[in-house]
Amino acid sequence: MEQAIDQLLEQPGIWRASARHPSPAHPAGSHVPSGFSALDSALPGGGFPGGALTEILHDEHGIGELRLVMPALARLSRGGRWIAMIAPPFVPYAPALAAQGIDLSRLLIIHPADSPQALWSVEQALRSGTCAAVLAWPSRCDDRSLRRLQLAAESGNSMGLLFRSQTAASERSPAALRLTLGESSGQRLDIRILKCRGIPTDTIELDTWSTTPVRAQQPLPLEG
Amino acid sequence: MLWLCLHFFHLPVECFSGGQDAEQPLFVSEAGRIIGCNHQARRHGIQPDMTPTAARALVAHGHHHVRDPERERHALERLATWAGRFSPRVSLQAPAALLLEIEGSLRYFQGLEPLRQGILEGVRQLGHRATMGIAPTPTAAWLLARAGDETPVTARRTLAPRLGGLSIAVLPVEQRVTAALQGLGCETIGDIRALPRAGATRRLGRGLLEMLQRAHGERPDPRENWQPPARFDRQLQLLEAATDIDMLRPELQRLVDELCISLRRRDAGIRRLRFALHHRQGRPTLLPVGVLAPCRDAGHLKWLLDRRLDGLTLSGDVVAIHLRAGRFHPMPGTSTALDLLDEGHDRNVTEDWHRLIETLNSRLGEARVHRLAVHAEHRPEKAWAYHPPGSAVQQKTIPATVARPCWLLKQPVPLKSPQGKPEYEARPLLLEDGPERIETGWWDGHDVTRDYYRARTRQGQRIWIFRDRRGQRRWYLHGIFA
Repeated sequence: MEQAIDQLLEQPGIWRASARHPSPAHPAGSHVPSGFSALDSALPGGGFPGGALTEILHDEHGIGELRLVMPALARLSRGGRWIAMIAPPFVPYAPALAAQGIDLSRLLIIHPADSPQALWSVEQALRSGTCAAVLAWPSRCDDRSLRRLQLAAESGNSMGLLFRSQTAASERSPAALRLTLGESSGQRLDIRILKCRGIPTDTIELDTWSTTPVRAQQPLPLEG
Repeated sequence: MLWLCLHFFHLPVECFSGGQDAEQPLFVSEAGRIIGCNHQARRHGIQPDMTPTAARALVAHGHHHVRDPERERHALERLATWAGRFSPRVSLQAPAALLLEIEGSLRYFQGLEPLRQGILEGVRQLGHRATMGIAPTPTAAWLLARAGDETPVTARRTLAPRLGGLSIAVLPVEQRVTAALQGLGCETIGDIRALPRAGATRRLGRGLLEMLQRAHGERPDPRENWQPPARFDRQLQLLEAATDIDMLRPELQRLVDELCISLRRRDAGIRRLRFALHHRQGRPTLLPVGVLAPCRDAGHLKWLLDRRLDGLTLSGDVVAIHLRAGRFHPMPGTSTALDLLDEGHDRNVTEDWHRLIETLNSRLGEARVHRLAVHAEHRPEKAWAYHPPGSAVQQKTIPATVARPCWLLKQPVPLKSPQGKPEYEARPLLLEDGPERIETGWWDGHDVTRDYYRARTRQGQRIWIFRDRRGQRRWYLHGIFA
């Protein structure tokens, strides 16, 4: 009996949430390690899903929302593709980004005039296949447009990072990963995984401040 | 060498009608006499040598133009660019003829007759009329074309008898010389050649005899190759004012096609097109289209143009379209067939990347897509800059010893500071690090003298604030450690 079940489970068509096996549509190589070991071990696949949408929900600026993704972006910017930032709320400060290890020649900043144009730009960038990561701060985003973005990220094999307010946590979303950033007390940033492909872990406490490099660092070695 | 000459005998009129036989009678005059008219005008009884006044009496709605050599020259240059598809060696023979060296083209066009037919058909489609002369020397071809003698002369030994039979009327000489020739009893070119050389030179001038020597191949006859200009500037007058964009599309696309033909002729690419739509009143609507790498792909340019037109609303009827294309750039040689090397993939990614930026540019406008650069500068607001995506950017940085925030505010925002202690969104701040004094820029009038601190709220927000060391010593928020 047990053998029969095992045989059944070995069929490639069966996806098991409990196993840390990524689904065939997202092979292991397509995950982007976040650079924080506590977060990587909590995320299925060991990092942010590449070729999919990730939502980062937070209310306050300055709690570490960008520091969370900087090591991953630094690694991606040296991988031969580009990174796009669409409708950022402030000026991305070039010296700081360079100090975090991001190759500025691979960075594109887009300031669309309004919200529909912003969503259109995000979709174009995700779909083009030339952007390793697309960071976007959309002011409004409904379920249908998120679905379009998710499909675009899949077809362009691009990591889409949407930064939204926490009110969006109650809305439906097709994103592969949804993180809520809580108020960080002192050094630590509370991360709650709202949704992921695999078994969710509750809350992660992350020290984003002292582990992020301050001085210009050597490029991270590429995997593979 | 075999030369083919196209003599556009009707060019003074055709350059005004734009190659189309218009509905309206049209006639052209020079020095108070009509020198040519179109079919419609002829039907109304207008003939050469009439005075324009007499012609205007015959037709009520006719267009009368004074002959415009400048315009004829432009029309001829356009025709020369077009003729480049038949031969790589095209030269202008002012005022109204083109010379094509066709010996090298015969094989490609499978013989003389198909080539002749192809050229004549093309001339007809462009709405022009021309006579054709074919001879081993350019001058002879020209004389044959002027005479309207279309039988080709392919062998050099038959050249002298054929030229000898032409009337002296085909020679491009002044009336005085023609009269002198008639006085000598010369009626054909052969008669002139039979004159004793010394006497003929004295009476007729050296120029005429040397031209005949060139025609017979007895004197070198170098010709300058026609090169289309390295710019494109074309205005299209619309016969019917366009009221909506869909009416404009075919005309705009025709201009793009023309541009791409002249780019291919020069083996060049373009990075910037400027369309201007002229209205009856007011300023023209401008439509810039840009690409990142030099391009002569008509399909791609039309596609970008379409994206640009999508977001456009016309402020009025369009009566004319003007396309001006900026500098022609040399196109690096590309081979699409040989992708054996690994570079193929990289190039595709770069091409896709250019395509993405061009798409964004054409839909959002060019001032909305940027690249980021660092400058070697201590003032935070001057240590970064936006650049257009196509440009080369030098990254110069001062190694930072202290952490810098990822977000910078465009303008520093004043903070409230009750009892001298700064607050952010009514939350008290803890100063974590500082001060870092930045005091510089006295040489350019934007000097700053500030003490920067890293501050934290109880909620864990980390921000970058400074205290101005001058004036009221106020506190400002300048960045966010996001």
